[in-house]
Amino acid sequence: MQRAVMSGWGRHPRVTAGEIQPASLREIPGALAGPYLPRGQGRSYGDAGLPAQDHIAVQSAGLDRFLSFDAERGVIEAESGVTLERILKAALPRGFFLPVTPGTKFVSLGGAIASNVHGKNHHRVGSIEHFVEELEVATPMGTRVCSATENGELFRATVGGYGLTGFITRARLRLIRVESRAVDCLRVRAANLDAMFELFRRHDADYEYSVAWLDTLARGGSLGRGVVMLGNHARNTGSLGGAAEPRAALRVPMPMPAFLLNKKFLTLFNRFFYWAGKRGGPEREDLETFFYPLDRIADWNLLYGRGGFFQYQCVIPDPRGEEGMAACLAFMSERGLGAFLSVLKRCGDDHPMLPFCRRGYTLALDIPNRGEETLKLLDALDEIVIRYAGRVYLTKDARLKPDAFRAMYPEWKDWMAEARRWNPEAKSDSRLAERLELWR
Amino acid sequence: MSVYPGSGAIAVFGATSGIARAVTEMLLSRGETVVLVGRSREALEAQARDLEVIAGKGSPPIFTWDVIDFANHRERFGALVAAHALKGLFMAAGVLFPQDECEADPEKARLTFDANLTGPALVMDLFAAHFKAKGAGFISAVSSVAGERGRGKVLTYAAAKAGLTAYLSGLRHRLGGSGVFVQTVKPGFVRTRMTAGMKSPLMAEPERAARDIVSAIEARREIVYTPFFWKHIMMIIRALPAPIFRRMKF
Repeated sequence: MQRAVMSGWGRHPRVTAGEIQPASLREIPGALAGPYLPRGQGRSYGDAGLPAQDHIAVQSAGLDRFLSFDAERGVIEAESGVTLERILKAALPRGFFLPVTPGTKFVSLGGAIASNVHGKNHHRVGSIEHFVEELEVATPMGTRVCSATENGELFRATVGGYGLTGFITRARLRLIRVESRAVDCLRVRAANLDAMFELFRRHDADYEYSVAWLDTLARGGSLGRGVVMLGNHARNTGSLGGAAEPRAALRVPMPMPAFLLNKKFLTLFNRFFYWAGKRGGPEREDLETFFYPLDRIADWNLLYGRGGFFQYQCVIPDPRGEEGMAACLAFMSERGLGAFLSVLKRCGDDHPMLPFCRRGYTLALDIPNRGEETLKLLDALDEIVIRYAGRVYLTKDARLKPDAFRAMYPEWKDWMAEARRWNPEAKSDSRLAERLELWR
Repeated sequence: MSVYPGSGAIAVFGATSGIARAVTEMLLSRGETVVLVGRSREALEAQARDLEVIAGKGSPPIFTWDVIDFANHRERFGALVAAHALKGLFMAAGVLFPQDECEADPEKARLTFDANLTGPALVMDLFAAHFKAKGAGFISAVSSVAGERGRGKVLTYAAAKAGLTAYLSGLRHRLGGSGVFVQTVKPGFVRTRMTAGMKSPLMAEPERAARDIVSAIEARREIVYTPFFWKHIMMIIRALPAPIFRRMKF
């Protein structure tokens, strides 16, 4: 078997593990004979997609076929390795779009389900769980079909279950109708955090999609300044086909020297972004540009240099969401913990057994890995998040400590009991599960 | 607009391979008719279902034919032309084993030659005669840049692909003036199951290869490198003096 060095999208940590890539569903039983971890496109940031010690990565990339498409209801059935990019390729010309999409289309369907991904419309529709009509999971205790109504517990433990109930082999996803490739969008600048919250409140109801970029280096009265980006699918523009986007316009050729991401540069970048957000008035963008701006830069994670980076995403629930976000940002600004792209958005509730999103606000920060110093700062940030009853997103995580995890996720025992029913000996196991001591 | 003039279907061999799959998608989107040919009915059916969803043009017909089953070639060819009028052949059948496996197991070495060279050559013989008699048609086959200068890491595979490249060149010579177009495709690294686990900054997506191949069929370019820069890379590699080439670790 081939061994390879692998990491999540944050490029930290890096581990060496065996990897295999079954070419069809028929090869799945053989591939899952020994200790393993399902692995999709490797786009989760931390160690959720890294196999535990002596486990192999069973990649889903070869399971990339569609099984059926119900054009009446907009329900697509596919093997778990099909990427969202490919689903879009099939769906858009027929007038359908993903009901929920993360910021990249290069993730697998199985990975999206295992991470219960959310998008810019979470405040309106929730995470992908609500649109998965059915999935099949090969657990160590046998293969089961499950849905919200059939084997519901297994379903709710598998969605957002990080591959720890078994290997998702196929799924049926309900899409939404769109009339064009265009998105009507509006960019509004907010001079500080209060103005930002006010914009979210005002536009929650009239925009399907909303997200804000924040200048985490702004301080004092400008704390939390940024640009809110709002969007709705355009109606009746008539163009669903059109030229397919090139897969990437640019490629980062190699890990960039870490000094490029120094504070001066970050400050300039953030100022520029704020300044560029000034142009007002409604605009129309192609949905590729609106939803997947970073997909145009292949391997953008190499910008963070050899050490990689952490993405820290937390949610702080209402009623203390606003207060908690302010506390996090004040801490960031005080410690000079500038992030390149910091994203704030309003979110709703999730319902799997190990849910991330809570009705409130979520903040995502990309932070270069500078070793111990960075880890300490993030531990301190955890304490603030816990104080406000918040939690961090495990799909992005590479460094949370077991105690902090338990404080953030009071539901984990129920989830673990269900996961154990199907995976009693942790045959499917990840570095994430080891690090957080999930099985103890 | 069709890719190649004339009516009839294009038979795609090795239809479940990554490059053939992307080429098929593109041919269907250009309005061509395609017959999926391969050895496993189950895999072909899965492929046809997938294409039905992605291309939205109904389920393409499938046809089972194992290129290394030499004894059945005539029968299979007869059945294929009885079922479908043909105007083109896209040959992408092939296998790649790690070199150490080829050396440890003679069966794998033989399979490397049979599936990459002997089988495809015998199949193309039948198509060549058929198209020549009609005075029209095209044959496009996937060889490899590996066939241009053998390297130790893929020794057996490189030898088989070198043979295929020579065969195609000979076929082109023989069919000169007959109205039949013969194309040699030389991909570099393309992200498919064959290259799973391989990491290279030069790795191209199969869609890119498909675009290059289809537009080259349309433009009747006889030899196509995909992506194009492999033409220059191979020019240099072919020109390297042996003592230097020997020391290169790749």
